[in-house]
Amino acid sequence: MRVAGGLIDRSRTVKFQWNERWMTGHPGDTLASALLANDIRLVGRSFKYHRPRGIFSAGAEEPNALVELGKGAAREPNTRATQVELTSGLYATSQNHRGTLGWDWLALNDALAPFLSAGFYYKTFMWPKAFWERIYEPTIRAAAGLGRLSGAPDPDSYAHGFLHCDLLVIGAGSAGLAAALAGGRAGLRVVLADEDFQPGGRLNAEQFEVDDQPGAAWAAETARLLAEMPRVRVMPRTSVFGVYDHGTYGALERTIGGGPRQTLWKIQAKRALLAAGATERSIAFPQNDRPGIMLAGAVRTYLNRFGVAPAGRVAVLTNNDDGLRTAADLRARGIEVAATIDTREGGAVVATRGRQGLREITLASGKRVKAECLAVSGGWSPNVHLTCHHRGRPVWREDLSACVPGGALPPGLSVIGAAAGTMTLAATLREAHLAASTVAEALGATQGVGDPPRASDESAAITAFWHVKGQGRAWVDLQNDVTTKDIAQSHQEGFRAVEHVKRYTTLGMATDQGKTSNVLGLAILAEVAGQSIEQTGTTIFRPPYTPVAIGAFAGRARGKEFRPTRLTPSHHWAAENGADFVETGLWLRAQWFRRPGEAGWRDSVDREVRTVRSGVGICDVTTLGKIDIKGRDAAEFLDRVYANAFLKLAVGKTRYGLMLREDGFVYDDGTTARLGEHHYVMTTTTANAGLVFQNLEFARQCLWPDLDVHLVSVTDAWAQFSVAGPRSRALLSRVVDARDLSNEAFPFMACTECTVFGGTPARLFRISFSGELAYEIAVPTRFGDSMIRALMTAGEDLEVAPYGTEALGVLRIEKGHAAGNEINGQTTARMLGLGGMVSKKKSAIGAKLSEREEMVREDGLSLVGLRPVSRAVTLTAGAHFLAPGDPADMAHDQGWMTSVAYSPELGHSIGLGFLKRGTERMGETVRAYSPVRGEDRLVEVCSPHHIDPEGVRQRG
Amino acid sequence: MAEITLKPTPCLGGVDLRIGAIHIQERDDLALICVAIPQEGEAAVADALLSTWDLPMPAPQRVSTAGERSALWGAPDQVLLLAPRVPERESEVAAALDGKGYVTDQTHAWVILEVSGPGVQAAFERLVPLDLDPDMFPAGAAARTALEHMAAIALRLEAERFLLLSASSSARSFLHALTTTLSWRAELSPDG
Amino acid sequence: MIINHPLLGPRDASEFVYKGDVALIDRPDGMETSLDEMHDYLHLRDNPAGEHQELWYHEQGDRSWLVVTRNTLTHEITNVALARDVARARGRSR
Repeated sequence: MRVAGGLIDRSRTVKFQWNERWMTGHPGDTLASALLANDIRLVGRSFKYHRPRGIFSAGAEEPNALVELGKGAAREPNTRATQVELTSGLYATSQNHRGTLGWDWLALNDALAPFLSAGFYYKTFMWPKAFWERIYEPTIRAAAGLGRLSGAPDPDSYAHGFLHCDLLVIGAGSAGLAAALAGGRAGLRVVLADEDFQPGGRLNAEQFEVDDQPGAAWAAETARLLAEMPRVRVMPRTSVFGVYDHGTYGALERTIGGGPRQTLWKIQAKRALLAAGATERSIAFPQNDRPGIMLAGAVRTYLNRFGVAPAGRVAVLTNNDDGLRTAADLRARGIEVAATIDTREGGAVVATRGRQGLREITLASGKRVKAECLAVSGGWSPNVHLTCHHRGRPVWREDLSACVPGGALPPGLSVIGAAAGTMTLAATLREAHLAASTVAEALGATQGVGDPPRASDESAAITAFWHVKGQGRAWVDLQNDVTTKDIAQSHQEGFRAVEHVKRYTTLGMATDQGKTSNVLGLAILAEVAGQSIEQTGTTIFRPPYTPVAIGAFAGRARGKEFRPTRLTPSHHWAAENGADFVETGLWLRAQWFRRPGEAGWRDSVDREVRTVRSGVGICDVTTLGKIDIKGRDAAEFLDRVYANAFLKLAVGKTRYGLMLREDGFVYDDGTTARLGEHHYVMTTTTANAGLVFQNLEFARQCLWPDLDVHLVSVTDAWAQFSVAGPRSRALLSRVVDARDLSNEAFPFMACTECTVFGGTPARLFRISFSGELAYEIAVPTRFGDSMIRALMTAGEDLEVAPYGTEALGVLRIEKGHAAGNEINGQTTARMLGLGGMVSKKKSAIGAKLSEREEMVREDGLSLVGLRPVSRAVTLTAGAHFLAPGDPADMAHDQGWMTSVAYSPELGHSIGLGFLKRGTERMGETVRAYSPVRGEDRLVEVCSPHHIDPEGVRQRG
Repeated sequence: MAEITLKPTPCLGGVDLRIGAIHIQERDDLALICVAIPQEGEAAVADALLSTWDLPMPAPQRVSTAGERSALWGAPDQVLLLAPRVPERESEVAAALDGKGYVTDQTHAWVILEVSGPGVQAAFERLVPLDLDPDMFPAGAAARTALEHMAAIALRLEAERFLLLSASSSARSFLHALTTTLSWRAELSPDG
Repeated sequence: MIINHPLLGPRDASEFVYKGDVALIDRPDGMETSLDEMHDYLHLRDNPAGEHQELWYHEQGDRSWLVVTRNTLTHEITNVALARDVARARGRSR
């Protein structure tokens, strides 16, 4: 219910829906405070027993009030109602129940609780074995999990961003504000990030004064001052969730009203101050999980910040002075305090009543007290989470009854305020101011930091008290339904180390990561084990501090934008001319060009192949990697990176180049043309373009640093077209300016720089992948679109036609050229029939290890051609070769089919493959056996050069 | 085929658009020529640039400018020259260097966008990992970096005016990344 | 992770590509090298718990190969040098 006061804007009303019911709140509310204002007590069901649960806290630590936001594809599960900013039209529903929230049939689990204690699953579902897959696992899966994913693609947008600063302040409570103010005054570049939408932290929840004004007013004023400083950036709604290497911090910013819904920031900070505050914890007592039982500090937050009282009658249970302030603040607002129970005076709560919300508590004396809310304080635990991200291990401080940051902190990170165990306000403000001053000095800031804010220290005395023994279950971890009994049982069954207890009982797991339960659990474990908390030790934390949606990590990299798309220069022309496109790496390439009347892709491809074999075809081959190699030592360099000889390549000539990996296997191949005395241009396969460049840079900088050789990637600089077929010379003679292209003047493997169509610069190579008379011609990229159109016009009477990657593949299989299917990282030069090319006279990359025994064995695999004995049969790639009559097992395996195609020229299916001693077995018949496809064919071994084995055409 | 002449097509069709307060414009009027510096040849290249065009050798991550020509530091042995695009630009540079450096025309490998207007620096925070604070990256600074997995060069002309270069083949993806980010910026801060 | 490039200053790890141990610089050139030596060069690496020198490539940057000295226990980077200079210092030339 609403009471007076608070920081909400009562002049305006915000409408929202909770479980399909319209309700109202005010700007400045969280979903949780608005629900409490509407007297909603039951907000969810616990994970295991489906116990009714209510709002427990007022922040990131919330274990109970997990809700689903939005509907349809936008639905987001497991959102903490305590952190959700109330906005107009917000749609929220409760989760983790079958049936309604009030009547959840999985609450049956609660009746079975005696059987469902720690380790239940490990013990129970072992037998009978066959039940696991069919019954146990599906049933458990259906019941397990918190919240429901929509199952639809997330319609929201996520961004990545990069920030750089001198000082990152994490948390905008009293410590963070004071530190940011000092840093800002010193002239530092400051980022102040806070998970809340309203800066101030506990100042907004308490009745403290700073600099003689109410704490909340000081916080608002300080945030305003900071926002006006040009080098300070105040980032509300931003959770710093992880500390990474070298001063890098991960932060998630939620955006309201435009822009990406969330931005994942990588913040690079020279120094950071962790001002994350502390989290209150509960006390374990019987039946301590009912809706209405809340943290005492949270009750003050609802009261002082949101103007909401959780109930009309409130009892307070505390082991410290801080908890007593809850009673005082309640009374000040006229709320009845039904009882103040101080464990330091022997007080305790031994039982509670109220199935769907607290009605009554029983004190140690046996006295029953009517109360709808019980505010509990078991003390405060510093938020050490981020200090653990580089494996720092918190240490126990007896005087605080809490763990404080310990071990090695991430470099550059210091901790201030309650997060460091400084539990009172004036001390916190002084400490924060000093820490920021120290950073300013270390970073050489010259401006003054001003005076620290003034305040007085409140009383925070505490005497540890963890556990009321008695009848009934006492919860430690509300989210995972871990009770004191589970911890005792874990210990009894031998899971005694703190990390084992965590995993056996699930203490501290799931979305809240035990923010309210870890320290309590440790204390109970210590008690059970009869040892100190120090001896018991503590678990540590990994990122993230609060859950981060996978979508935020993905950012914009999803769907079609998962990676950039590269378009060839003829892309638009191809799209206009019936091309179907295929992804090859980042590139989109024309796969074939569909023409009217063609029934399917095979018709188009067969036609394109015939065009190249009988007329002239054009294919955009821009995607091949192109590297300009220049320098006095360029020839020497090439001779070392290629396995075959390159020193004597003449200007104006092109040579096939075979590249090995250092381990002797084939890496890549292509051609290299010598365009000038010190100028070569290398092509690589499309797939390896980037990696070959990287390896060449490695060779140039790290292996032979004094060679004068320079590399420039020109893949994107030139639009390159293959012009192939018997009429290619006729076509290019019309295109290339003033140059004799006769076989004598420009023979096979010639290259030159030239101009085309009256002056456009170009590069011309006479190379052939198809085995036909063929050229590749390149023009600067921006001329590529014009070039393809001009080539088509110029060759109209020659019936020139474009061909795509599929025809390119057929042509090369017909010709017996190896490509990606053959060069798969397990291929030797010898297997490709290129063993003779690998020079023994020079120590090129890979040459030495290509001599290994296993790689030069006489009975090794070699590349052969295959054709079906029964010509009508279609071959399939991946089939393994067996001698006829041999059993089909690995012991008799003789190789495999790498590539297949239908050859329009031959009129039947053809293949390439690796066969044991293949070159000696021409004319033999072997089985091509594919158990995966259920195929078993007889094939005839032949030359891989299905067409023109003598190479007459390409030289003609 | 004397009747046919080839015409260049801008990578992004000469895109010119405004998103909120920010203006994006394809700069299809610039040439980019790469000069590789031979081993031990830095002084000779520096001398040639200075004597021919009064253009000092740029320091790492910086641009030097003289008249209509600029020189970007590209790599320890590489300088990129940026100048108005004319067909003979590459041969002009080659002539000036007269064999003292290795000249490669890279104009067509890149698309160039000019992005200007209030809030450009802030918008770029969601794009590039560089620290673009004016103290760290003033006008006249340039850096090669990555932008959503695409290679990029960022060059600052003025406080809120940049040239962004990226590979010509992925120009559309590059523009899409840029316009998406600038739209977010416009939603969050309509006035820049 | 941030690599402090000797020429360009601190740069985000997303601009770099990792290769491996700096020992990859010490390639035994020449065909008189034994197969064993070549195997050792290619496959044998130390796996120190502590300082490790390793090769990184500034792919989305100036294309420099760098030698980064990184502590494998703490990830602290204590030195970054141009690999070309390191290679020369280790006796490599042409």
